[in-house]
Amino acid sequence: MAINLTVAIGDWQLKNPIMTASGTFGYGEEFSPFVKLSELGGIVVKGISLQPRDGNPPPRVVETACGMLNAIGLENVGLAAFIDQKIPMLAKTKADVVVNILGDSIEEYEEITAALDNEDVVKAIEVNISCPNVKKGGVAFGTNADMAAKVTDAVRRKTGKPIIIKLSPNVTDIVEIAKAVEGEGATAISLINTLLGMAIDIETRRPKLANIVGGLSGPAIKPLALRMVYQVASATNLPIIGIGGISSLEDVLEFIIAGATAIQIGTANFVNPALSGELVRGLENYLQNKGLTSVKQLAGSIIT
Amino acid sequence: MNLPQVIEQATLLANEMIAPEIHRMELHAPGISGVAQPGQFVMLGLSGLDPLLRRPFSIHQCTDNSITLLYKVVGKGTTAMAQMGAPQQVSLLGPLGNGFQPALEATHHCLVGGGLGIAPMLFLANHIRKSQPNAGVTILLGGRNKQELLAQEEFAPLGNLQVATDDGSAGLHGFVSELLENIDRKDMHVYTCGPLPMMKVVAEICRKKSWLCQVSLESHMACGMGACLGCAVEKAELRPNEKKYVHVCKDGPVFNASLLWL
Repeated sequence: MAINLTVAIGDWQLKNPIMTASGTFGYGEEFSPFVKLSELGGIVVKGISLQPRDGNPPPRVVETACGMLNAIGLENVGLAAFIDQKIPMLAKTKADVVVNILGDSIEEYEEITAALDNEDVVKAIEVNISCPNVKKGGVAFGTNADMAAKVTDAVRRKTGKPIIIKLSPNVTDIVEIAKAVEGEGATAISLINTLLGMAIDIETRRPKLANIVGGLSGPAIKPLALRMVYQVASATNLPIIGIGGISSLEDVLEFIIAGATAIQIGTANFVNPALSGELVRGLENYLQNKGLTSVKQLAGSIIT
Repeated sequence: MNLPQVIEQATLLANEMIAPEIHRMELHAPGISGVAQPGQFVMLGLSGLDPLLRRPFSIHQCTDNSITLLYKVVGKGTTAMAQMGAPQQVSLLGPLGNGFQPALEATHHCLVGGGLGIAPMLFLANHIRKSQPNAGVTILLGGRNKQELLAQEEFAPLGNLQVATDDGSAGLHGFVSELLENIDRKDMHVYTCGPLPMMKVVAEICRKKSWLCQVSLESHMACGMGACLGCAVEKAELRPNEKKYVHVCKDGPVFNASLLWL
């Protein structure tokens, strides 16, 4: 019997639940020697800001136990170059594209969203709310339920496309933030973004990252991400996209059983650039071997 | 980055210590060796989650079916590599990056390698010998001591070989850059890889003498293929609205020195 891998994020029908995470998959083209992009559920491209950003000074990455810290600093080509240069390239790949967006103010999020609303290749918009709100003293949008709700509402008014709010784990109660964005019309929630961490060179006594602190990702954060996905899935009615250290089929299944509708592969793309495509086939084989006909039979099937 | 890249399960053919803490690993990797250019690199991955990321290594030597890497044991990844032997396997991603561009019109090539930066110079020297048999080649190697003057025997038949050591245990008692400074030629093309301070001195000598200079950089990186943007290096500011950083993996690892340091 044919296996049904499709899932839905609002009106967007994904071929399967395997996506790639923003910042770990470039603009897709880098991975085309290793993955047929159109076979993935979706690809989330590097976060786009209104103006181009140079990013942070080096060193920007350092490996830690079973993971890595990064402080790239949101380097990206900016909205105009993205639309001029990257969208036509992405259209040719026939991939389902999600654009991750970021801003220093509500107005920037609105302007980017409005521009992307015209682009057919963009299936959904993922909103990075881990950025500081420059106009409000630099507190990250994602660490305050009111501000997270305001960004969601503002973006919602600028597009009919599905809105995915990407949550930061660097909060006391992630469920509170999730409920706040659900209340303002988010289509889905993706979690988690990286955890704030640091590493020190004991010989020089200097931080290993020029930015001093950076985002921790990779298998080291998987249990924590899984816990947060489970909590948010239990407390909201929105589709959840699980992210955090996923690097094997077993990891994918854990997140889906915990309640994720789809998942994103992040740091593991660096280790094995072909992984996302392998997981699509692996998931199909797994369901077949288990006598299941649809991935939806697994979603949220956790027994407690 | 327009060349074909592959992920290849490569079988170790040899893995031996050639100097204190320095090892040489030869790998059967026909998919990569068939297309690799001098100055390009591979990302080598071990199984397991710690170490997690692949490590970048320049290609030291390249035959029809195999590539050779030189590495220094410094951390978890290289310690694990040093304990491996034939016929174990590693995963290679490559060939990556833009290699050296040997000038076709140059009458004389000068290769300057310091420490482990000597590694990519052997592939380059062999390539130049083969593609330009009549061109003059000078090879300058530097190290802290004579043990660090890697692969001297392989370099010797490929050009005029001169060496320098910090401790005077072989060749000139001093820096390899002094050997370069002493060369009296109008037209020469210089290629260098080694510690950053050494390459900056080499580039400065080249600037003064009006020699074109290509430098090969290294950096921490997670992916090696332009996705993580972790390997940023600040470049010389040229024009307004230009990007401040270049990326070692996809813009390099070989750069014209003038792009980086004016």
